[in-house]
Amino acid sequence: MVRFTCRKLVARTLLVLTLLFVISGFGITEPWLVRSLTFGLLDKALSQQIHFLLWGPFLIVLVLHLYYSCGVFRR
Amino acid sequence: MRRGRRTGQIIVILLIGAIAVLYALDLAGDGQGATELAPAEVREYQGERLSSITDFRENSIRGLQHVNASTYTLTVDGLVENRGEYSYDTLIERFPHYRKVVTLYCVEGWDVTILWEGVRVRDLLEEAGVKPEANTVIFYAEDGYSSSLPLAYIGDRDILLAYAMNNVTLPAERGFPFQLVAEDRWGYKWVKWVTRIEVSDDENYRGYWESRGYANNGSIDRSFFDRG
Repeated sequence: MVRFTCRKLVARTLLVLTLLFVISGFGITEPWLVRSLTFGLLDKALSQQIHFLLWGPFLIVLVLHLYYSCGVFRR
Repeated sequence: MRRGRRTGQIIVILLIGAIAVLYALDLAGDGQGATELAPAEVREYQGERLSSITDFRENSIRGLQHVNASTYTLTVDGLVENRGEYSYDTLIERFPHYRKVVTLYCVEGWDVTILWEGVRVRDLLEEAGVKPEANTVIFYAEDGYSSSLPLAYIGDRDILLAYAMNNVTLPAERGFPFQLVAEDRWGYKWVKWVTRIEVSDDENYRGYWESRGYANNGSIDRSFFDRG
């Protein structure tokens, strides 16, 4: 049960991080599109900061997600 | 099975540890990279010959102004919903940057073609929220100089508040920290050392030279003398 909850939590966190990673990437290359889509919340400078800060948490959660999803290590 | 799971856990812990160490090193390394030197002035951009930043003639009303970037504040006020105050770093970090080649035509007869880089005045005004009755934008400088432009002109054109020219940070004599790039307007509209932007409904506001006989419109396809 705990393992299942962890797996779900990791999967959802990874989804959020992936979306943030992609959106902030677009915020750097297409600042005006992202700025208008986020109602001015995400400008180019903030996108760049988020994008550069995300890679560590993203990789850690990705590794955890692979661990929980990989059949070899499943119970 | 249990052994495989244990191996998996060890691999995951090692991987996460390695990533965490690399991430920590990356964060610690920010700002400790190579010292950035001032970039060299570019004299050609996309095949177009540029003037030099030394090709200007000094004609400011009170001589060279030295503005301290660490204490500098740009105020955006007047007919706006949210009065804004920005430090030099905030302005540069917060707003998108734009580049374009624009020629400044001085009433003295000389001109310079420069690659300007800056933030759009329009973006600042959008953030401040211009009130519907506004029609004019007045720019004030550190030395008491001022000039105005129609709000529609600012809105229709990508008018820059430049912080760099020819890939070099504006020198003090060129208006550090910010010079207005009023393209298609005579040089007296290109306010240097901008410290305040006021949004107004006074379309007859006359700045320093305008109140001394220069045209308020300032368009380069018209005479700079006010003929009424």
